[in-house]
Amino acid sequence: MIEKSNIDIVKDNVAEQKPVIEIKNVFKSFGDNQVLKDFSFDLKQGENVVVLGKSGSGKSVLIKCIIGLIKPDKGTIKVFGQNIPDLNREELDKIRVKVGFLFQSNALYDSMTVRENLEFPLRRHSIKTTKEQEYGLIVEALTNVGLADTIDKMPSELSGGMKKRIALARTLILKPDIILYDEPTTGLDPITGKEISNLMNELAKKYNTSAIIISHDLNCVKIVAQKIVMLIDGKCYAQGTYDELKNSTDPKIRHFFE
Amino acid sequence: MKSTVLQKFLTETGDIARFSGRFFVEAFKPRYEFAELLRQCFFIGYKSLPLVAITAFIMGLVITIQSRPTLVEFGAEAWLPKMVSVSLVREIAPVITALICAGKIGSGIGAELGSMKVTEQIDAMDVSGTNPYKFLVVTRVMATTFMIPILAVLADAISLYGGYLGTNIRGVCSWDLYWNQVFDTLTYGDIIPSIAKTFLFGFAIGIIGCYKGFYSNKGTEGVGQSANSAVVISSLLVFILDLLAVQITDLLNLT
Amino acid sequence: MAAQDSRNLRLGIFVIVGTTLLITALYIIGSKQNLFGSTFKISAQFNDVNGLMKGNNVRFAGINVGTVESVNIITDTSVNVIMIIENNAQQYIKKNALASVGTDGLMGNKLVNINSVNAESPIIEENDVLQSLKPIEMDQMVRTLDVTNENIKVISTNLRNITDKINSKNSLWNLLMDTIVAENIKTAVVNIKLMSNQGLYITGDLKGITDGIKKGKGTIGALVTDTIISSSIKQTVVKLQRISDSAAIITGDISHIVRKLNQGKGSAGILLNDTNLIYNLNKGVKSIDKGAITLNEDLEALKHTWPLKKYFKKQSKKKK
Repeated sequence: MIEKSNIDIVKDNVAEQKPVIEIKNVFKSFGDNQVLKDFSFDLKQGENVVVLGKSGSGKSVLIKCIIGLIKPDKGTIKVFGQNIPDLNREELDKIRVKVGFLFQSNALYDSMTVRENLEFPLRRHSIKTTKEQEYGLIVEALTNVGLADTIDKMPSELSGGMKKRIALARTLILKPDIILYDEPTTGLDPITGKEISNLMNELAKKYNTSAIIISHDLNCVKIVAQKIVMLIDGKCYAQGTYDELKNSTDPKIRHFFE
Repeated sequence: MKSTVLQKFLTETGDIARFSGRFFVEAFKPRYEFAELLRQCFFIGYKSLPLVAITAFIMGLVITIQSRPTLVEFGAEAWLPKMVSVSLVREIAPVITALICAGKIGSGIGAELGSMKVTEQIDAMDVSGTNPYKFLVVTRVMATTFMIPILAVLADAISLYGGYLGTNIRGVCSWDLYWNQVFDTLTYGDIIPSIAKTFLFGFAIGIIGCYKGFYSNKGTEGVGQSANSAVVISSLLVFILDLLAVQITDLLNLT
Repeated sequence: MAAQDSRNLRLGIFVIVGTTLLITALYIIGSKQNLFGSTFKISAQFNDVNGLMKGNNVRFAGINVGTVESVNIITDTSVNVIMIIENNAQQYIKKNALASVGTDGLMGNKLVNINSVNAESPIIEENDVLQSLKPIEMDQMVRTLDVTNENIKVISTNLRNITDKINSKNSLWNLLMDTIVAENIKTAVVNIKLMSNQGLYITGDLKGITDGIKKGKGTIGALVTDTIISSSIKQTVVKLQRISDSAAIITGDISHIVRKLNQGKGSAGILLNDTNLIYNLNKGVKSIDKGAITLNEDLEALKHTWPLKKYFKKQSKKKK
């Protein structure tokens, strides 16, 4: 079932294989720690790509560079043709409406209710909506993640899996074209992790999004990945489907699948 | 080893200065976060009032009781309202207010922003089309800058009321006579510099709390450290600013 | 939303209460310093202001009516003090009122006292200059004695003897019988007369001086251009006149008694019942005492005032 839907997406987007994100020769270091060394990679429209790597290998740094939270030392990151490091705040905000980001720790605002959390990006991005439209969007987003009844709860009242879903709903409320997932299943039990992974697939299909998923959770990777990028030693070490990489003979790659 | 400590100190001072400088740049650029500012004013100003009020009342009472024996020795008991009002308005009420707020608000801001930083909420805001510096720092610093003077004025009034009760514990001084004496003694040179310096206190408390929270280290331990060092540094700054403010007013002969 | 509204309401109350308190406090202080409300300015010149400063209070008849606006040195011997006075005190302050620098309590702030003088004068106006009173320096007063003082001592001892005798019941009869008493009283009366004559004589002299000064006659007149000194001389003259007047009254009273006693009119009973008389007698003695002291002090002070020093020296030389 899952395999099938993935294939469907690939088929749907075969015609439009132009890259939405182009990363070229990106370098980034923190002090003496060289995290990204000449990393290059393209994300094509409609692709779900998993970036696989050890903890601390710079996966999070990579997607934070894409969204403009971290400036790379060198290299270009083009999103919809615009080089992120060169943009000012207003231009960046315009890109960020189209690029959703799911944080590893969910980053739900503790002081706000679920509803206010979902309202926040809508209002902040100055998207003109009436109260009714806004409410409609919130309910839609919550229904998508199956948590419509939590609208007036505080994040502290929710379980880990629910928080993740709400965070996903918040990311999706702007109907982004690209979603960046930062370790979406980390800290969740395997069953919930699987649920979230399936949800990601469902929503990707529903809204026809592309995605970069940072993960080292193989269960999740197996479900969501159409393509896998191995981030080793700060480089795009290898690319391929799950099966291709799993059967690779390279010890560095094999290391991940054991 | 010594040089690294010094270096660390200087670097941090520079960072705080740059952080404060950014405040002035960002505060005047459009997209004003009024709703958030009001929210912060409510939490920082209104919610601190009970604590400040109790402290100010007790200080007024205690200072009056403590001053009496010395004045009695000089046979100048009638001067009690005058003496107490000057020391309360000029120094005790504003500084106590600032210290209480440094403890309550400084640690609150440090911990709140620290945990927001750690749980990536600050990044999330950034991604959601919000300048987190503006939304979180500017509003909070503005709120402390404008609320602490108001708290200080209220603290003045409440501590003077405490002084009134203190005067009447062992002596007799009518309500009218007390306030008449207080206002006879006080001049603009007492009130205006003492209120003016509370703006500085407020700014310092806000900016230190925000700085410590905004650059909190990863992890929950970092949050605790942020809160703690926010209180320590802002309390210290309150005293340093107080010293400077008093010296400046003294030099300008405003006293 | 409702929660936010009530929050904003509470915040509004908080802010308004705070600012109102501050503004009220500033207003009260301002009105205490006469920054608001209508005021007018007057000034006075002093030789020495004893550390009077801007912002010190100005009192009229002991009530705060204004503040000192500025203290400026004009010449080597005079300091101009400009004062802001409340309009509603204007009607009570006359043009001839005297300003002096005083102290509030033993260690208190300096202040300007304005005191009215017992004489008709129009109401003060904006920018008027008040006459100032040189603060009396105590040590000068205490330092010396005078002939008048001696005289009055004799008189008062005599009178005290008499009154003591009258007061003690036992010696009442003695008083009636004792002609020495009568004689004493007589001498006292004579002395008083002598004293008051002396007073008159001095008064005359002073009048002469002031007249001379007014006309600008003589060396002293030329020297004394300072109106302050002439005004203080005037005051002294007035005081002297008052003392000699009261001395005359007392003398009259006493001679009345003596006459009664001498004529043998009335009995001891009448004298006994006439407590008023005894009271008068007592009062007379006291006021002569007081008068003598003030007169003495004034004369002494006058003698030491520099333009008169010469005059008195001349006088004593002439006597020799």
